[in-house]
Parts: sequence; structure tokens; C-alpha cells
Amino acid sequence: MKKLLTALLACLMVLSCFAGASAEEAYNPDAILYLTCTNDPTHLDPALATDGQSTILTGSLYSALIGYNQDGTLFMDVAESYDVADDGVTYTFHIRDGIKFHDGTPCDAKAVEWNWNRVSPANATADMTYSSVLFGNVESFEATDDLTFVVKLKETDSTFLTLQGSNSLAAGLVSPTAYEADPEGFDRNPVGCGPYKFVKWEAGQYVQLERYDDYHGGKVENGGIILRVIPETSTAVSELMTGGIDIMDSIAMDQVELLEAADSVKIFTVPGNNLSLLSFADFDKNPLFSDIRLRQAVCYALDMDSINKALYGDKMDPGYSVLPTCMQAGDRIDEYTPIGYDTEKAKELMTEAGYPDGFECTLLTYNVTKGYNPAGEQLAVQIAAELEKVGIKVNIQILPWSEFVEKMYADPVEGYDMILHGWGADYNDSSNIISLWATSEVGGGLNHSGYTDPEFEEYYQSALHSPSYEEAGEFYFKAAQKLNEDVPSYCLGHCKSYIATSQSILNGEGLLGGWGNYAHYWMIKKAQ
Amino acid sequence: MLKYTLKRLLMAIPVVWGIVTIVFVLMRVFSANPAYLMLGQRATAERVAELTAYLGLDKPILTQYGIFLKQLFQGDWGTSLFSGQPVMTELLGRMPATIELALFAVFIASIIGIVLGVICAVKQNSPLDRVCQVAGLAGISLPRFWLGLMLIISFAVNMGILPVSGRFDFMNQPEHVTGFMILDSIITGNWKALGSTLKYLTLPGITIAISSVGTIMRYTRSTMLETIRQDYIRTARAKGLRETTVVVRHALKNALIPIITVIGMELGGLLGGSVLTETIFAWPGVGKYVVDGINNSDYAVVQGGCMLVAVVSVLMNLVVDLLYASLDPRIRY
Repeated sequence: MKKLLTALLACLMVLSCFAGASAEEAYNPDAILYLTCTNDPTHLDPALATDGQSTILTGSLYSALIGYNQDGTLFMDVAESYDVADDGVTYTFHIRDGIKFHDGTPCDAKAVEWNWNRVSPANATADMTYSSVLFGNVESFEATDDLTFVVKLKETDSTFLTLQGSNSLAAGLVSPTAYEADPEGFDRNPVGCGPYKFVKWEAGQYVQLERYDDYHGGKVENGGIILRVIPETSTAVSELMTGGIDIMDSIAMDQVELLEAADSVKIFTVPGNNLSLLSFADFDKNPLFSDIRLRQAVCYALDMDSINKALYGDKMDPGYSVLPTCMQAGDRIDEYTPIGYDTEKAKELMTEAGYPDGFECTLLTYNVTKGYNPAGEQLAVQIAAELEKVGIKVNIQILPWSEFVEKMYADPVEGYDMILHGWGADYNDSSNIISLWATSEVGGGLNHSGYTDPEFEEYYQSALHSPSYEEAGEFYFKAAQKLNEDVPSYCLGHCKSYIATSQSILNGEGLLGGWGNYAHYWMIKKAQ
Repeated sequence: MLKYTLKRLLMAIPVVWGIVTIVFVLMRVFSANPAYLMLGQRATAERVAELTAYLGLDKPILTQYGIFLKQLFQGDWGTSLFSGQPVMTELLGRMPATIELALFAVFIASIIGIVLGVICAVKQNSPLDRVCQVAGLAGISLPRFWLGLMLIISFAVNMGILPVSGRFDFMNQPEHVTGFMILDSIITGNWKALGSTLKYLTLPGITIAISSVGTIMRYTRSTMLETIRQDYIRTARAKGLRETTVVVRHALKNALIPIITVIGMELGGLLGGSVLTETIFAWPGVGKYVVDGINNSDYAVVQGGCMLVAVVSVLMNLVVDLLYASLDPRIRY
């Protein structure tokens, strides 16, 4: 009996070895991942990159001191650890030994110092958008030896570490040797120390990256990436269905159903890290909306559940607060008290404010679809129709995107009362969204409603200067709740993100997390 | 002939200059400040002002125009605000794709259009003539955007016999020599790549050709109808020449001038880039590049693109005029 059991166990062990082997062999470690984007990337230098198609690539080419996991949490990347001094403003990063850029240059503390010098606000050029965002609070930095990098902040900052995770933006470390050899050409011939190295950029066609075998973060599970430029999304969908591309994000509403029905495609959904907004433009100076009752009346008159259902199906999550559920303090949905749909209340407030028969106003919007509003100008049409029911006549002004952006940022606001816009968070810190109503952003900045509430500002500043990310959460909650009360803007919802992969992608769920720019393509396995 | 050509080329200079000036003024008056789009969603008013100044867009429009003309005389078409690359380099990089697609499409359309046009004229009012007339009209009327997508769904997605989009197979790419994939495949002797390149050309080529066939066929038919009623055709027939000789050598050759004009205009239009077809088939040509430039308020790209289209149109007209002389000995310049 004992012999029989031993023999059985031995057989099982042998079989399990075979099973393991076949699972390993099921994927091709040299397979190329074909991705798609609608336009050419604009920059491959992380200090200049701002758009989605560029950051897909910069996120794979570069590493930073810290990195983002798929769920937006942080991991130690080029730095293996850090210490914070008792003063709360001195950070000492201990750099991993032995990391090399793709051209063989050591990625040590000196290289980090050189990089920070390049992108710090004092030296940054006008087109380095994220320089002041990422390094504005940095007072000094220094490589004290080859593996130690010390940073001193101007004041305590709960966002500092999170911001340094933006490897696809200005926090990405470039090879000093390669950059100094050809500063002008670097953008087209980039060298970093991320999981992939640059091969080729054929303008209007594709960008090719190949596996960097010495990547410090672990084994790269595929041979490389080719990002194909396919301007028309219907064509990209056809490519996905026929195996011409492997991974597609930014899927249009009407294509989700088609893809869900296709056998050759797998589709994944994640909560979106964005928000769609209706803002009352510079409301303090507006004859109508300086009265909070009229702002509230507009919000009460909007049946956002029905509008979202009609426009986006089940793709839009409700806007309990301006913070999406995937971000810090955004998940406390039961504790927020957003304005609901109540037309009687809307009429009552209008009567109290002296407009019992309604009023007329102008709404500014854009003519393209966005990640936070895949229905484009249809959203404005639906909102106008809904407001008409309570007597608010809305004149819609639809502009091409570039003109819309210019008009939205113009100071002072001219020719419109409300504005439909939105935001896609570019790093996983709630300050990224709460800052849209910061006092410092009034007048030509991001604060299009001109909101300057001292209590809100105090919550925001307290969150920013909390000693840690965790402690900041409570302040972000209070700030978001204050926005629900004061309604400088009305959160219309948070649009989910969809990612579709071909059947040959074996672990597509690894791309999820709502942080498309930071997708860890290097972990993706493709079938033989 | 040389004097005429030089005169025409000199006359083209004010035409191109006028077009570019109009585009220059329109872009600055009606389009948004590109600094907002370049800086992305984190743009602050200070950064925008700084970048606007850095790009020289805060200077008076006349100063900007002066700088633009000076650069133009030095052969500099400007630099794309977004990619930072010289516009001329980017346009020239995209021209082979546009030329290849245009020539392929016009070649197919001309062969089919002329043959069907001649047959329709010879067999006027026959059932075949009527079918061709309707088909030709349909070809002209079908929107290219829709047609392209239908062809993709039919031949690429459902039948799987042709690729969906792009210009070449990544696994079978010819070595870059001239930028013309067919030519490069032949030069390098890569016959597998030649076959795959032709496959990639087929759907976008047919999409364009279907509408051009209709136009060329209708022009061929009507000019042929006019020509075959001429006395010299009756004389040729009376001489006992074979019908094919009469139609091809006597009638068609004389009917070719208006047909060449139409083909020239079609080709001229396509060489400026076929935006819709390029967009649907992810074809990396100049049309899509210029439209992206318009959307991004990338001034230099739009100016350069329009200049290229103007030059190509002028040159195509000149080529067509010069072809007249070789087709008809009576025409001399």
C-alpha cells in the first residue's frame, strides 16, 4: 500500500511538472504587443510629454524613484527605500545599486540629481508643463554619494511621493549621457531605464520599443511593444477583432457592445479616474449664479441618472462627489450628500431667488468626445432639454476643442454662464482633482468657476501639507463635501474605462486599475 | 515648350504665395492659440503666456508674416509646434505613401474607367451601358468613409483575405530605400514584401478608385460619343479598318484630351492627400497630417501642407497641358 501511494505521488509530481511546463510554454516570451492610439505621440522626452499616446510610451521607457502599481498604490522603483527626517521635509532616497540606462550609463544618485536639475522649475523650459507641478515644492536636492539622494522640501507635502511616481511625466529619469550627446534629438531618440528601450518612430505609422533584458524591475514577459497609429476607432476595432492589434483602450460607447459580442475579444471594465463637470463660470461675478439658490436649482433640475443612462448606458458611475471611487476619499460614497434630482425643490429655489418663471443662460461646450464624456456635445443637448422643463432656457455654444480650451481659460470669462468640461486625473492623488477649485487657480487657471472659499481652501491646504498620504484623506473628504454644499461645479459622473484585448493576451486583467498611462505592459503575456 | 514651361512655373509663384498668405492670415485670425493644447490640461496662464512668447506668437501678425516669408525664401517651411520636426521633412516623409496610393488608385480607376467608357460609348443605350451608367453614378455618390468601412468589414473582418489597415506587414517589411514600398520591395528583391504591400494597398486603393472610375467612365463615354460621330471615323470605317482599330487608334486617341484632364485633376486632388481614406485605413499620408495640423492649430503644418497642395495642383495642371501637345500634334506651345 505504501509503495502504491509513493508511486501515485511520484506520478502526480511528474504530471504537475508537465502541467507547469505547458502553462509556461503557453505564452511566447518574445511576442510583440500591438497597441493602438488615434494620433502620433507628440513627445518621448518625459519632461515634455502630456498627452495619452505619449505617456503610454514614456511610461514604458522610463523609471522614476518611485512607481505606481496597477491600482495606483506606490512601489519603490529606482530607489529601494527612503527615510523621512523628523522635520517632515527632508527625504533621503537610497538608490538601488547596479541600475543602468539602456545605453549603459549608470542610473545612480548623480544621474538622478542631473535629471532633477534638468526639469526643476529654475531650469525648465516653457513647454515642460509638469515641472512646477512635480518639483514646485522642492527647495533643494543633492546626491550625497553614488547611492544616496537627499531632497529638502519647502514645506511638508502629502503629495510629494505620489507625484514622484509619475515616471511617464517629468519624474521619468533620462540618460544624462544620451541627452547631453544630442539634446535636440533626444525627444526622437529617447534613452531611459524602464522595461523597454526605444527602437524606431515612423511618424504617422508606429513607434516600436523592445524588451530591455537588464530591467531592474523583473523579467519582461514579452518581446516588445509596437504602438500603431490608427486614427479611426472603427478601424482599430476591426484590427482588434482580426488580431492586427492586441490591446485597445479608449473604446467608444457604441463599440463596447460590438466588442462584447465578438468571440475574438476580451473586454475589461474599471472605474474611471475622471469626472465630468458642469461649472458655473466665474460665478461670483455672474448676475445669476452668484446666488447659490440658482446654482442649486440647476443641479436639482438635472436627472443625471436618466441622462447618464440615456447617453452612456451603464458606463457612467454616479457623481457622489468630485472624487472618483478609485481615488483617496472617493470611496466613501455613503457619507457624501450630493444634490439629487428634485424639480419641485428646483422651482422653489428659483422662486425664492426671484425667478419663478425661470431664466435664460448660456452653456459653453466642445464638439469632441472625451474620456470623461464619450457622448460629446450630446451631453449639453440633454442638459439643456432637462433644464427647459423647469423654465431654464439654455443657449448652447459648441466650439471645436482648441477654441473651447482657449475660451475656457480666458480671463475674464466672456459670453457664457456655465461650462461643460471635465478632468482625467494624471496621477493618483486626490489633490489632483481637488486642486481644480484651489484659490491659486482662479483667473486663467484651472478654477473655472472662480471658487474662493476659505474653509475649502483650508481643507485643501491641510490635505496638501499633511505629513502623510493617509492623513490627507480626511481633509480631501471634507473638501469634496464642501464642494457638494457650495456647488461651484456639479459633478455629473465618473466615466468607466474599458480595455479590450485579443484572445491571445493571457493576463489582460493585469492592465486594469484605471491608470492607463501607467499600465505595466511588461507583465503582459501573449500566447504563442 | 521650355519657354512655355518656365513661364507657367513663374506664373505659379504668385498663385502659391497668394494661397499661403491667405492660409497664414486665416490660421492666425480664426484658430486658437496652440500653446493651450501643447501644454495639456495642466496649462496655467503664466505657462501659456511664456510658451506663446517662446513660440513668437505674441508678436504682431505682420512681424510673424515677415519672419515666415524670410524663412520661406531660405527654404525653411517652418517647424511643427507639436512634434518639433521641420515641416518639410515630415511632409516629404509622408509623400511616398500618398503618391503610392494615389498612383495605384488612379491607375486602377483609369484602366477600368476608360475601358468601360469606351464600351458604353460603342454600345450606347444597350443594357450594359445602362448598368455601367448606374454603377458609375453609385460609385461617385457613395461616401468614401462608408465605402471604406464596408470594404474592411467584408474583405478583412468577415472573409479575412485582406489586411484591415496600415501600409505593410510588420513581420515582412521591405528595407527602406525610397519610401515607396512597392519600389523598395522590388529594389531589394523582397517578393514576399511586394505581395504583402500590394495586399495592403488593395482596400484603400479600391475605395478611392471606385469613385474615380465613375467620373473617368462618364467623361470617356461622352467624349467618345462625340468623337465616333466625326467624319474621320466614318472615313476610317469606310476604308475598311477593323472596328477595334477605329475605336482605339482613331476615336480614343482623339477623345483622350478631356479624359487626360479629368485623370490629371483626380491625381492632383489625391496627391494633396485623401483625408478620409487615409484616416480609415491608417494610411500615413499628407492629408491626415494636415488635418491634424488644423485641429491642433499647428500653423506651420497647415501652411506647409497647403503650399504643397498648391504646388502639386499647379504642377499637375502644367503636366496635363504639356501632355496635350504630345497627344495632339496640332497643339503647340
